[in-house]
Amino acid sequence: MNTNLFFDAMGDLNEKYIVEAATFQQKAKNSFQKWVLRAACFFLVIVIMGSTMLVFSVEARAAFLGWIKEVYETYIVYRFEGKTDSNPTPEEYRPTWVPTGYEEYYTDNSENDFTAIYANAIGQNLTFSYSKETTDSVWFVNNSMTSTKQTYVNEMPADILIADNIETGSAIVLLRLSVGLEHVDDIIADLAQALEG
Amino acid sequence: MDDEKIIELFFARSELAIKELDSKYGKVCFQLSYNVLNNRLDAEECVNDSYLGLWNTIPPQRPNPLLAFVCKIVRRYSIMRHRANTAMKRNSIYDLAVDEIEHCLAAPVTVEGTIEAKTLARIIEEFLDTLSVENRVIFLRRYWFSDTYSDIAQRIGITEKNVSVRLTRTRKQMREYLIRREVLV
Repeated sequence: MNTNLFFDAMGDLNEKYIVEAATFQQKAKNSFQKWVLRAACFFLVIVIMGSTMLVFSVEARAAFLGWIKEVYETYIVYRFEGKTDSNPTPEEYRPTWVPTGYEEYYTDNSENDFTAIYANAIGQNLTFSYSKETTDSVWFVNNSMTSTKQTYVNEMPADILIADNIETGSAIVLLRLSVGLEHVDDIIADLAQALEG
Repeated sequence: MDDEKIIELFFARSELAIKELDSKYGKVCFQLSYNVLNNRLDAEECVNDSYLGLWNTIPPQRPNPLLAFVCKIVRRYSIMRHRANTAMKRNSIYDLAVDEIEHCLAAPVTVEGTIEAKTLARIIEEFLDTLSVENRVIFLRRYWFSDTYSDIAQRIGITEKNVSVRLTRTRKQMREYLIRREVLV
């Protein structure tokens, strides 16, 4: 194929691709995270939009200690500053259990992230996503439209972010280490039970 | 000034439209043209030609988004100028991008002549939809905006080497995709 044809075809691409590339902003990344800390941790996130968001993190092998919470005006940063020598291979995760009434209707398995969305009959979404970047060590939670309180889920300390409007999902942020997917499902079940309560 | 107001100025045939457009998107347009032509004067001329083209197009057109529309015109004018300057030494970033993609598109049998740019564009769009946002942006920045690896690395927040590796993988994926779609045989 002639390269001229290729570049002509590129010129005929839909505007949305051009706008996306022209306006793309890099994610805020902490230099400590990028260059110093090689924490072998990753995150799992569950979101029930419009009603409740559940967030927890799993560190496969390292110590439990090392999580630091920084509270800013409009966001909270959960940062893993523990030390680990492990360098795990990224694994694929999928919840084997979701609350009754939810069915999967969308998945996006990109190079760096995985997202699956489950919806129920009344239009509530539950989004399960995690970063595949094994060097990710920072989790940002926007709290500009929420108030934060301390709570416990199954005797584990957690933050509860209560939204001040129905458009914003409330959240439970639970920092937790686990060694297997069965524990992840346990947490989902515990949190779902807490929500129903 | 927001895009709608700029377009209103075009509709009112106010020369302020060009001034406001240049103020908002002039830098992006110049960089895009310069990446293709590697010549400041030619790039400035192409951007000005593009503004004239825009002046003659709006009205009746009311482009939305304006940025993509302007960039498309600038890119088209710049590539036309580049191809017209056959004696020009091949030393622009666009040339490097062309060389990179040439290997990816090489095939013993080609369907060139049976496929139009617009058809190929739809196939490339479908391929782009299979990429992650970051990899898609990197690909577009390189082969649409003709950015350098360094510029892309800075924009995305990764290293130049990572940009290079990702582009190599994406080109390979695109080649496989084009073979699957029988664009390359």
